[in-house]
Amino acid sequence: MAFAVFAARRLASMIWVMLFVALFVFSLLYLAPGDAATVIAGEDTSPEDVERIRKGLGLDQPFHQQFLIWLGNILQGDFGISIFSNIPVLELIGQRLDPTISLTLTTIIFSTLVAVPFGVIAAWRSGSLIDRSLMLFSAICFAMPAFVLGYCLILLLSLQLDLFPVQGFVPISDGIGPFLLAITLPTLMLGTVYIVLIARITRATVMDVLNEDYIRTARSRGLSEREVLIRHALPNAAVPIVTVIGLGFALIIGGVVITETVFNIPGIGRLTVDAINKRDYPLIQGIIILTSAVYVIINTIIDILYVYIDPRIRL
Amino acid sequence: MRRGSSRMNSSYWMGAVLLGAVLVPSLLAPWLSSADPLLIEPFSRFAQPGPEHLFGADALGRDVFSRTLYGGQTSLVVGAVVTLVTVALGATIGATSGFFRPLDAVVMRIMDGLMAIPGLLLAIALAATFGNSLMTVVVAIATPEVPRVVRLVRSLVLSLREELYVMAAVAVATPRPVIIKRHIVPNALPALVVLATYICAAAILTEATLGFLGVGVPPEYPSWGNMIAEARISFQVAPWLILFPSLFLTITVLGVNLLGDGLRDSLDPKLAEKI
Amino acid sequence: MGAAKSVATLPDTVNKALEVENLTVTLPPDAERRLAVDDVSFSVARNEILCLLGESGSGKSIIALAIMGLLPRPVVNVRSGRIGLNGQDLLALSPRRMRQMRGQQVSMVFQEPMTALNPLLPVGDQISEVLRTHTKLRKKERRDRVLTLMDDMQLPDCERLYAAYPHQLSGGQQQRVMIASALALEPALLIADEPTTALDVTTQARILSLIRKVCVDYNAAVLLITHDVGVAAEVGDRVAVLRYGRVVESGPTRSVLESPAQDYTRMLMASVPRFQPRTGNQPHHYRLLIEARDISKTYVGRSLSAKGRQVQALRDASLQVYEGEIVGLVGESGCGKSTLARIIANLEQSDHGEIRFRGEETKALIARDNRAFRKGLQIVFQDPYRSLNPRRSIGQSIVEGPLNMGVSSQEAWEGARAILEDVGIDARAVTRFPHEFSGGQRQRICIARALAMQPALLIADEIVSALDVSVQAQILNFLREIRDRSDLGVLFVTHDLRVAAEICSRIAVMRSGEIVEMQETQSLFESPQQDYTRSLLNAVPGKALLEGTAIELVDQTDRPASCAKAD
Repeated sequence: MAFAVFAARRLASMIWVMLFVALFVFSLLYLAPGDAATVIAGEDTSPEDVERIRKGLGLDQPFHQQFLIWLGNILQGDFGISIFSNIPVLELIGQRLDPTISLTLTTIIFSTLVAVPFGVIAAWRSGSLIDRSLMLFSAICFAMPAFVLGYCLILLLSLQLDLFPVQGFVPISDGIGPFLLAITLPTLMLGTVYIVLIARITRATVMDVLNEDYIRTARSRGLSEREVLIRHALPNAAVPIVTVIGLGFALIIGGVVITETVFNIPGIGRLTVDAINKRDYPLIQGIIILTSAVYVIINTIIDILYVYIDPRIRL
Repeated sequence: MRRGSSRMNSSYWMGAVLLGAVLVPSLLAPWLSSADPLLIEPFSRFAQPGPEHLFGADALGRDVFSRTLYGGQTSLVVGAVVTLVTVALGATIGATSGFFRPLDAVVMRIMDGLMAIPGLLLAIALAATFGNSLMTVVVAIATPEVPRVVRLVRSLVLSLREELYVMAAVAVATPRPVIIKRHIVPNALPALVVLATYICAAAILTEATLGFLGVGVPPEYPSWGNMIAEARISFQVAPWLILFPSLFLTITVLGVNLLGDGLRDSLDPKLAEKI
Repeated sequence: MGAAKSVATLPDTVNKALEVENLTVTLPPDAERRLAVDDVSFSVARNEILCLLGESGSGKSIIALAIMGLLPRPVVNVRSGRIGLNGQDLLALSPRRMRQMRGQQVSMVFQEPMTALNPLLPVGDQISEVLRTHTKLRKKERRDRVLTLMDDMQLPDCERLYAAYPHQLSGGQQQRVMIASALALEPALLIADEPTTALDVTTQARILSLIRKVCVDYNAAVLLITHDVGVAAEVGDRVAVLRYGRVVESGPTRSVLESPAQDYTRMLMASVPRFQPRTGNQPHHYRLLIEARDISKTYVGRSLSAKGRQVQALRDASLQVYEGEIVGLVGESGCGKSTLARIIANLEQSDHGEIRFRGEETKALIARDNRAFRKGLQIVFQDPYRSLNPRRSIGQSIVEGPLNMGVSSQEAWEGARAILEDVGIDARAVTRFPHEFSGGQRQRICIARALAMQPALLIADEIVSALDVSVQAQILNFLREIRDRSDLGVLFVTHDLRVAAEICSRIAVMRSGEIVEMQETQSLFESPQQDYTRSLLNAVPGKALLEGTAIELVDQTDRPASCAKAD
């Protein structure tokens, strides 16, 4: 019962947040300098066409009514039509989903598998060579823009050593081998900052947890260090680690835009850059709303997951 | 009890040195480099690094050394301005929200909403909407960072209000404005200063990223992001065009971050948890 | 202290489970002193409880961790000595062998049961962990054994409790779980490090008697570490008094505590509040200072997970304080005593009820003249580490109030120096910052800050709870002195009846937001009207010893007349 109330509250607050996002995204168009219809139509459109767009969008009506109409359409799955390609926004996004989802999943899985053990070991042996090299590596990675890292990877692993293709994406349906070969470098590029972020938080949290009294209790019972880490330290460090995996998802969304540009992958990221360059507002709006929704949903799910990680939250 | 600014540590000094190594040449650019960063010299296209052009020349024959130094000015100005704007705005909103409970719910909803939009996406959307100008870039970079400051300042205010020494000040009839000035602001400042350094580093990185995606500062300002974006097309023939601005960029951000880490550890070892 | 190396001797050396010989432990180079433990020797037999008694910094916990092999190395290291357990030198064992000893041959119970248990694991599993690590018992057998153990520890409804999480248990139950897990394999030695310090007095009494019982039932040697003379007197067969890492004196509890041979022990015993109302606490004036009538307060949960949940902190609580008297407000943790204190000081608001300060309703007084109210009433908090702004000099903190009252800067600073001298701190320290002072010194600075306002009423909210007993005695003396030379009224909030008996003329006993009884101290002790008061009185540890020989002891030494400068 209490859990249902808790979950309902989280969902309600999620809806509020998404409403704000929608309002913000909608206002973006009106904040832009110049007339909205002209902005949407582009500069080389005839005045008749501009007028047609104005009517079509209901721009002659007051702001709040426009917003409600627009919101109503979105809730029905109508994100409008891309100005440039004349294809419905949702369909356009759907066409580009596959590479982005593949890249995102490989990155999250790979990063978590690398970062968490790395962070735990660094915390357990804090001050050791492993720890210090992690900290040095992470400081440099935080300072290096992702695209620079991408070009370094291409230069070294593709052009010099010829291990991986320079660009492009191969869907998993074309075979797992070619898929992995093509997606390795983008995953490395996209994952690096994410790995560093998760590893740092894991290290800091596990170090804190290792100073807790119950760790001393576990040692006083004669548990081995491995058991102390796995049975006691890691579960107690889980909440901040899972949180940062969720919050860091924003980094991945931003990173996808750059990674797909560097590696010429035809996904949502490239679509975003195209939309921005062509000022294709319906498309930009659609992309921001959908990615924000995914981000918010992931973090809401994680919030609700805490109840299963930590019995103290259960009421 | 480790306190006091006398205990500056090694990462603080390393950060200061790295930052100085970039800052000083950038500020001295007019004296260090005789070449005009915007001058197009068709005969020097893709000139290799050498005595003529220390860092080589780009696809239009512009001097990369000179452009890198002037680009540093752009990056540092953007970083500094974004930091000032973000901290001023965020601290004002955060403090207001922390002190006036009725406003709090509304403000925090708006901040949650802003934080729900992935930062880089928000920045490029804003930059694209308002067109190319230095001002646009500053707004685009600052907007996604504001909620971070608001949340920190708000939580600092809320926790400092409950401090016993604040209660003790209430108990000796110290007026509220004086309590804020005397007891709350000085104790909130260290965390804010540290966060400011991290925001500065993030701003410099985002500026470069926006330039790379073609929505950065206008081309008449040489900037590291713009240089890397232009060099992208020819990076297989002339990798140094990417190398030098990237190197400077990385050193700068590393320096600012280390400075922040050092400040954090010397001001208050427990700060790491708050930020 | 001359007796650095005195070995507690017992006729029967065969039975000795633990023999610590010439143990020396070093501290890191930047520490305040070089050695945490300096050439310490003692022994404990099975069926025996040895109490290590010492104030903070005496090195008592370091000794426990050294025996467990859990010193935070490489920061703190054993330099020399021998720790014999059943004839085996623990210091000579490999880390692997030592790990096998822990939980099996030697185990430990800690001060904070709440934090000593893993919050994410059911308590039954945590006890079972010892069996899983050291035995080959099957799951079912382990569970049965754990249930028996829990039953032995007098835990209720063990089947249900097995699956409960630590936060669902009371502090006393948590500590019983800790003891069960420590005794699961019937170790030769049980170390209990301040096992009851974090618990309420009635719970403390029950846990102490449990420790007494299991010491015999499980045929264990018990090393009990405490700062509380009462606890040592209550359960210790023998006691070793520690100071600055050395054994000052040791021997059978009664003889050490009743006729101490060393100056330090004598000073310690003189500082201990007697469990007996002192004479001379009766007030000289009878002008009413403050009157709180029917104060109620309900807290409503605000966090996402506890929204709307209500906790009634105060229920129609009433009390009065007259000029020149110290009134005790006594109760266990969470009973609402601090909330009441803060409401009286107008630092929190009540839901209903009325407070009158010198006859005037405080709300009206504050609206009319806030400064007059604040000047008349001052408060000192429990935690001296958080009560002073770390970025302001102690002088700045002290003059803040007087300056607000319109006193000239020169006068205020002169006053600050004078009041610092009064509370026993060098006036030249006025420009120093809080972190340069010890906890006891900081608390005296806080008192100085309050007294600089020359208030009529001082609210002292658990002001000695965080302090060592010798420092505590100095502060109590100081309060008494102030009361005697002025008409200051004090509302003294404390969880400790012994302390209240020392200085209070009247005592209000509080339980779950209600004041259950309020009486003159003498009559409260002689004829308590409520069962709850009686149980509080009965639970005070070391009563027998403290009541018996108290006065005589006090006369043996010079009570520190005022606050001495050394902490």
